[in-house]
Amino acid sequence: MCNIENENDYSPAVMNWLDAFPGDLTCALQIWYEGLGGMGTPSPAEIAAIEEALAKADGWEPAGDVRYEKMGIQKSIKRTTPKTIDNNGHIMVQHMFKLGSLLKAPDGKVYKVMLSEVYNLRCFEVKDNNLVGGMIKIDPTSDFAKSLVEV
Amino acid sequence: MTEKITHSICVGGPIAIHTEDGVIRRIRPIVFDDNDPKGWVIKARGKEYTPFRKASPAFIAMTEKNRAYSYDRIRYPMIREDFVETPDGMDRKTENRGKSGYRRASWDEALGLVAREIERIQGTYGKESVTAITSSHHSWGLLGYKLSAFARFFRMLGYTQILDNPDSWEGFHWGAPHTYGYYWRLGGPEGFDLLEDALQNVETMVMWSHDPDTTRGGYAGNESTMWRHWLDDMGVQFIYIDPFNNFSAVKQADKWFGPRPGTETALCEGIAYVWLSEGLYDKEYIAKHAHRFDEWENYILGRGVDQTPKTPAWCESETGIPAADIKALARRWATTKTMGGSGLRGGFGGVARTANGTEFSRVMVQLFAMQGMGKPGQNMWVGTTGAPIDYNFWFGGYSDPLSQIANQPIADVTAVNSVTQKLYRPNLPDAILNGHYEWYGEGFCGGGLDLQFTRHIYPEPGCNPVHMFWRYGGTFMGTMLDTNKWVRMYRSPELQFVVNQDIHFHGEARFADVVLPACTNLERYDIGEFCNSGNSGYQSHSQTGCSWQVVVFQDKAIEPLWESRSDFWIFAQVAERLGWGDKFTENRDELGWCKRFWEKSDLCEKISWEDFTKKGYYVAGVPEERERHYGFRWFAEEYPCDTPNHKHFQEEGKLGTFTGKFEFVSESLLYYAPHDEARTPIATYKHSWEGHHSIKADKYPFHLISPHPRFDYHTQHNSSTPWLWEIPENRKYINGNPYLIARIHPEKAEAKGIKEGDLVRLFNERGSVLCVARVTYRCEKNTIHAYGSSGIYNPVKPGDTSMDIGGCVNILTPGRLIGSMVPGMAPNSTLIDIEKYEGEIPEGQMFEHKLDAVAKSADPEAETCMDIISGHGFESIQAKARELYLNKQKEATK
Repeated sequence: MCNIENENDYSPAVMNWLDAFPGDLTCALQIWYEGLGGMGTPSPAEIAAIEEALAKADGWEPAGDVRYEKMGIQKSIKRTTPKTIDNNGHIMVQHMFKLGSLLKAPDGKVYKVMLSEVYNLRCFEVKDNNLVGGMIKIDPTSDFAKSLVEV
Repeated sequence: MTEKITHSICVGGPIAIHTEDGVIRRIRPIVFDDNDPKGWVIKARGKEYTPFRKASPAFIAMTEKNRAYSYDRIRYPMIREDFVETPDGMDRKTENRGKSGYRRASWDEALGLVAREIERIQGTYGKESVTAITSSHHSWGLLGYKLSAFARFFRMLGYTQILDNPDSWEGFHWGAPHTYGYYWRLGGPEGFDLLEDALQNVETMVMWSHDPDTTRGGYAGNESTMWRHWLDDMGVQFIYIDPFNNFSAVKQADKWFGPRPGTETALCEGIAYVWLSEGLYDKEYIAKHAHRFDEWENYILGRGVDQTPKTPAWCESETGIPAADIKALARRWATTKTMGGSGLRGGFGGVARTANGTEFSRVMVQLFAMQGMGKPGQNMWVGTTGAPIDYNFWFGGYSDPLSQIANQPIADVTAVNSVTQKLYRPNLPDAILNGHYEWYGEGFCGGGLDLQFTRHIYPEPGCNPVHMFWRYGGTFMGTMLDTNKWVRMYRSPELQFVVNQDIHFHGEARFADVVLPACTNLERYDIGEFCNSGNSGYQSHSQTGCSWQVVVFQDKAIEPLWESRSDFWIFAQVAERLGWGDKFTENRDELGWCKRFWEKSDLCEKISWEDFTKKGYYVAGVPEERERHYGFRWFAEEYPCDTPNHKHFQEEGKLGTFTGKFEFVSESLLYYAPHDEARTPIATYKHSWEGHHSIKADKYPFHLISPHPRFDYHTQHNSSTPWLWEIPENRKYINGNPYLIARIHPEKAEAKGIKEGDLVRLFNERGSVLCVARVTYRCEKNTIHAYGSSGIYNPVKPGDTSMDIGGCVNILTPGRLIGSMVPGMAPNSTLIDIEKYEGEIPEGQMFEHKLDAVAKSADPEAETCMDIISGHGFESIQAKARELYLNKQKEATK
């Protein structure tokens, strides 16, 4: 466990972890394990204390119940402005282009991200809720990629 | 004589097919021409390595001709002779399934009956009352393989889906993700570019429960065989650990260790003890990347709850391997750059299919973590994956949702199953026979750790049980466990109607009410890539197990034999009779669907459809200045993950565990299943519920291990290809029956009065199987080795739970799951006894006679299999070719 001066106030440790966290979405359970070095399942009081700290976090907002592949459904918060590069300036392709997300181009076309890996971004155009046309390759570092807005 | 050359792929790899006058004459590997790209080059230790300019399929691929013309082909639609289409589904003499004969039916009669039964059963009991499942393998091709046409039909129909279990690597799937994540790779490690890493850096290979020349990286044929020879030639030491000194080990092992089956986790712990007590591990790496390591260390050193140090001496008492050897193994592993793992891609192996499989898999990962997994020359990699690849070329594999005709974008409309009720494959008989079954998990839980713990109840509240079962391809009699419970299931009146759609008259087809003859993929159109099981599903990018990335247009070499038809055609015909044929086909024929896979992938940018179908294949070259994304290096060297098929948290530098580190105490297990008796938070060696510490061992003292077969691919080839039975290591004819070989150690054989070549009975309380003894020092003393997945299931009394003479050793394996919360199979936790068989030798049961009899009684004019082959001049073609060859030889020697 990290040093917590006041065992009922997780705020400083939580804020430190959030500052360093390169992702956009998190929950109390993730912070328990990754941020506070928690071992074993946290008690309801410990979760409540972390959530209390999260509620005060600047630059973050409630995201409701979200399913995590690791931890199942958790009450979550998300960054108000998503991060696309990590703290060392590395591009994070999957953070920019989330699998299954819909992206809108300046010309109004909407694309669904079907593959988001190693600078290998693949989409299909979406028309009337259907995937149409051929598979489209997009260079995630291109101007076109930068112009895409998540719908 | 007009010769035509077409191409196809089977589970053994890509092939070229020569046909003359409509008869397949020969099968050969595809040899690349000058227009195909250059092979990759790996520079290592002063040499350059590049692959042969041909695809290297497995020998089973060369039997595809035999498989097509096999004696046991299902030639016509058939209906069980005593089946009566009662209006309420009762009184159908289901107890006769498996022993009744069949009458020939027209397609119209058979399809009409199937459609009427679907309508009756779903109309009476609801959509959920129909269930269906494919085998693990049928016929390669994105259109016809298991997740495409089948899935489209049944999702459109609405049915109770049967969840697949990861039957080849259970322990890695249910265990390893709790140590290092990779649940999206179903527990397997990532092997990207590790061939180059190994050639440049590795000094020792630990091949645990691994017989790569037999299991061939899954579907990769012999592509990686040469890689392992390269490593051998450069002096890399190979250590094989397997209760059977397997076929790869005998030619390559510098040292073979044969632990007693079920004790492999103890051996891992013994190795860890040496490392911990001698300081032979990467302390810096562990300090940075491991979670709760000290608690595990305490357990190993005897400071934990059990107060038992896992010393080499302790380890020897469990495994039978001398303590000195264990120390030597541990020291060699730790002091040289070592790669290794278990089974065909490093996260497989028969050891993962034991009662202790999850714990072995977790400790295996922990051992590699202790040596700095991901650093150059230090990784989980077993010489069967990780060839250079063009990461920017995309063509789908069969598990990719993007490459299935059930889904957009291949289909215009995605097919969605309206039924939420599920069943679970290994326990399907229990669910049918008991009317109730509960289990955890979604089968293949690639979608998340949480999905291992979802709870299912059958029948789902508000749903009815199933009353119709449609089996598609292959036979579970040889691949699922406790075969006799499947026999009991089929005889149950709960299953009012059973359909079997298959190419060959496998053991399971004989339990159906209606048998629908499918054709091989040499008789229909399809498209597929060599060894590509999916770039996002399963253990992704398995095509890196090949030296070449080859996409094949699977052209029709011959017309469907007899009255067999393509799987797509069969489903389309039933859909037509149910009133939604056009929706199913979207007005495309099979060639039209194949073209969709071309136009929805990168293939359409590389080669035109016309050129592709004319040439028959496309080889995706690897750029000279290629990208490299070494598996796990990102984690070891702490940069954002750059390997394909990664997760967003890997970009944040974390593993897929709760803490993002290697968990030596699993937080996910503490969170989801703190009382799981099979997967404890600290992975530990546990006595098997069926092992040498069991009371049962007094009565049944031998461990049966039944690994993946060398002379087959699941049940695909062995049953249909009699010349494979002439291989003495595979089968031996006695009284006209090809008995499977069972191997026994000479000391034990002598004690039992068994000699080489004797008929022996393998038996336990579940049943008995007659085999032929091979007495060999290649077996660990307490082990009987007989390959699993027998394609032949031949009970002496058909339809009964009687002695088998086909080699279906799964009659003996336990139906019990690994644990109450671990729904994996454990065929290699089987205790049996063996005796020389001195009873009456059963009559030979050659299928061709039975089938010919069925066909002849239905239609006296019907041709037999041999009639048809001879009728097409096949034998005279062969004779002419032989004469030409002999003449050439004569000329050459003059």
